Amino acid sequence: MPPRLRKAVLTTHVTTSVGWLGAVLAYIALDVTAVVSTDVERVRAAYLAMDVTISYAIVPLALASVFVGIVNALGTSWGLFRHYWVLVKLLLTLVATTVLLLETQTIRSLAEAAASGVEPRDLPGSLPHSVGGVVVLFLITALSIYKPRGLTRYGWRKQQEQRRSQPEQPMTPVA
Amino acid sequence: MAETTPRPGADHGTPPRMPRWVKVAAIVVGLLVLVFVVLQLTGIGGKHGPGRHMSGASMPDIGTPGIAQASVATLLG
Repeated sequence: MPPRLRKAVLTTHVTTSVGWLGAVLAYIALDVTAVVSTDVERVRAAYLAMDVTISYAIVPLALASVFVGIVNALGTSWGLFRHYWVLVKLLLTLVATTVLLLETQTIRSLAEAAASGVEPRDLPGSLPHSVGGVVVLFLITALSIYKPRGLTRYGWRKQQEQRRSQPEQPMTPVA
Repeated sequence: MAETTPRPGADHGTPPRMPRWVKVAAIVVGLLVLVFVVLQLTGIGGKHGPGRHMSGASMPDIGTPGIAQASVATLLG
């Protein structure tokens, strides 16, 4: 990947990933409001805002982060399966996205129930999922920053192939 | 996310062993999955999934726009 394009893809990946984390933190503020508030209208509004936030901010950011992240990994020498930290990050991201997409249906149902006139304070919120999601996203962010060492067997084989295919460097005479 | 190229790896003739941090993470994830499965099988954790959230609340087919608008106005103001 050309350097300019690589930088653009990396910028998009960082922006969508950190944006995803920030959107979930905003969602948790609504989730906590929905669970602890005693004001019926505020709780009802919180559920509706949770539905809007998850549908129009969190899910688009998550899908963009996964897609751009895969493009970013495949377009650089990091690869997708060569380093354990990239592989673990991919798995965590896919799990988080899957749970998010399943949870979206639940939140839609909760928002519809809250809007229908049902006592919204009887609804349970979604704090275990949203707090768990933030923990996973934080781990993913930390992996991206620290990049713990460790080549996979596939990565090691690729590295060996690259070394074999590179022509021998001439020895520089030492003066 | 910050770096764009990997650091040069060690030059070994044999495949590298799985790093300790990966083994520890795998054990932690395995234990969490085990706890989750045990909680589900024993029923201690209750039902999991959308149905759990709907106990005590009837499900409407569609939302009610009037209530929705009033509620968003409440949250904003």
